[in-house]
Parts: sequence; structure tokens; C-alpha cells
Amino acid sequence: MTCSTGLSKKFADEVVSRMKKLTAKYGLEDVVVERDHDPVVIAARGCLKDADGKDSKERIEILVQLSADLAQADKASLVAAEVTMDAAPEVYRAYDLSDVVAEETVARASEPVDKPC
Amino acid sequence: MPTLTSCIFENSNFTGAANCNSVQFPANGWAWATWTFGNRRASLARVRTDGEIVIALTPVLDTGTNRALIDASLPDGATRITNIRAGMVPYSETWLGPRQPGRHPAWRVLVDLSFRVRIDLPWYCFAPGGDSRATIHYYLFVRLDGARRLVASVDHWEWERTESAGVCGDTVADRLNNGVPGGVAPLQTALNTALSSFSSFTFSEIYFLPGDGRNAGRDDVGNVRNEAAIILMR
Repeated sequence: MTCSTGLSKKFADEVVSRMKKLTAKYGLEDVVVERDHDPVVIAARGCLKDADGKDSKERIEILVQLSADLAQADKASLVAAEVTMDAAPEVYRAYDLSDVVAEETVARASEPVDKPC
Repeated sequence: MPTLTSCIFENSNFTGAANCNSVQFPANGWAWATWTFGNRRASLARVRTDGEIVIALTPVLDTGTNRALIDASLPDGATRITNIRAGMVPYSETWLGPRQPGRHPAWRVLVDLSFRVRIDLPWYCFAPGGDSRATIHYYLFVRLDGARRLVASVDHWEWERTESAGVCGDTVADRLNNGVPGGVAPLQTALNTALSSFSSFTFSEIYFLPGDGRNAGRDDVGNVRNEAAIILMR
């Protein structure tokens, strides 16, 4: 979901629009807008300028993210996909450890013959 | 004289670190290897035969040509930061193993071809160091086909991000999901080329050993997923 439909789209569009005006008003030049991303990202940094365009020497960084679920951005840390193989490849021999390992663990410590009382 | 190769593994599923020792022994006699087992939890022993063809995987796969092939397939902003490692892993220990149990038997050994990458990130991700790191795996299914010829195919791929991406985990995921599959076709072509020299031979058996598959002395392996050998028997 990229805030691309319905009310979330209107909301995201308005946030982006207002942020662009705000960063322009205060003269921030390093502005990034990732509108089609999920989460939507608006980031800006730089030295704030006053109404006369004068550099105030006050630095600011701002980051705004919009999403239906911000936590999802960090979930995808392990992903895999199969590659299409030829259907049922004819296999004469592949190495399976199951050939050498019993289904149940074989090596179990035996009970001592003389148990202590 | 026959040779016994005895290997002990860190984990009961034959992953992790391993130590192997190979000793000759008289026919109809004893062979032994003494170990301080420590944290090892599984062992395998194999009687070696003359005429085996031992192929240590990392030297064969970590070539300049393959590195260039891999590098060309990386997504934008990603740079390989290790050499190519190649080892052994049972299917059950891969990402797909428990999720697609019908694809292979759980204990089937695949070749794990892996390397690590650095992914550069823009400043607004606020990732420590301005980048993230991931390990990319291509799993190779190596076997003898119905005609007993050596064949290999890229079975599936997997990546795992191992460092914070700040607020851009999704960006990293998109880049890797879009880029990693692009390495499959060139890798398969490279495998086909490498195996073509075996195409006129047939084999009776194929198995894996940790390390370089040596048949004399000791071989200590930090991680069998990074170092293993294929042994072919005529």
C-alpha cells in the first residue's frame, strides 16, 4: 500500500504538498520526496533561512514517513524464491544425508549398568 | 591401503564448523581417529577409494570470471565485499526447506554459493555508516542425472540482511528482490560451461565432505556452508 488510493492518497498528497512549501519557505535545499514508495518518505535537511533568505546557521533534519504499517519496512530481512526447475528432473543419485543418518537419532548414551541407589 | 575420513560437526544437522581427519588403515584392520569432541554434536565416517575425483568447491567457483558475473548482476548501490564461498547445506536448513518441504528431501545436500554485499543508502535512511549489509545465497542442486552424468542447476536464491538499514528496510528488500534473481541465468550458464568437460563421463556415486575433501591428514573447517568438496566415484 503506497497511500495511492482513497483518503490515504489525499492525506499523503497534502502532507507532501505542505512539506514542500515549508522546506521552500525556510530555504532547505536538500529535500527528498519518495512519493511512490512504501512508506512514502519526505526528508529534508540543511540550514534554516529567515524570511529575508539569510542563513541562520541553525541546522535541521526532518524525516516524515507515511504507511499503513511502518513496521513492515523492517520485516523483510530474509526472503527467498525458488527457481523454476525442469519438471521432475531425472535423478540417478543425489547426496542425501538421510542415507547415512537414521530417522531417529542413533547415538544415545546407554544407561549405566549399575545405577546408584 | 584404504583410507578412512572421519568428520565431526558442530551441529547435529551437519552444519556449522567441522573437523575432518583422514588416516590410512590396513585392509580388514582398524582405523581410528581421536578427537576432543568439545561442542561437536554429529560425526560421519567414510572409507575412501582410489580413483575418486575430488572437487573442492570454493576454488572452482570463486574465479575471476564468476566474480565478474556476480558483480554484473548485483542491484544498484550494492557492492560485493567478500569472495565467493561455496559449501554444503542440507535443504532443511535453507529458507525454502521448511516452507516448501516437497521440493527436496529435508536431508538433501545442496551447494551453498554465497557472498556478502554492502548496500549504499541515501542519507535520509539514517542507517549507521550510511549503508547496510546482506548475505546473498544461490543454492545449487548437484546430482547425477538418469544417465549418471554430472549436472547442476540453480535451485533457489535467498538473501538475509544482517545490519540495520535505518528506516529503509523496505528499500533494501526491493533492491535485493529485484536484483538477486538476475544472477540466476548467468550463473546457470557458467555452471553448464564448467560441467561440459564432464559430459562424456559417467559416475556411480556422488557425495560431499567438509573442507577440500583431502584424503590425508587433518582439515579444520570454520563453516561447512563456506567450504566443502564434491567427491565423484566412477
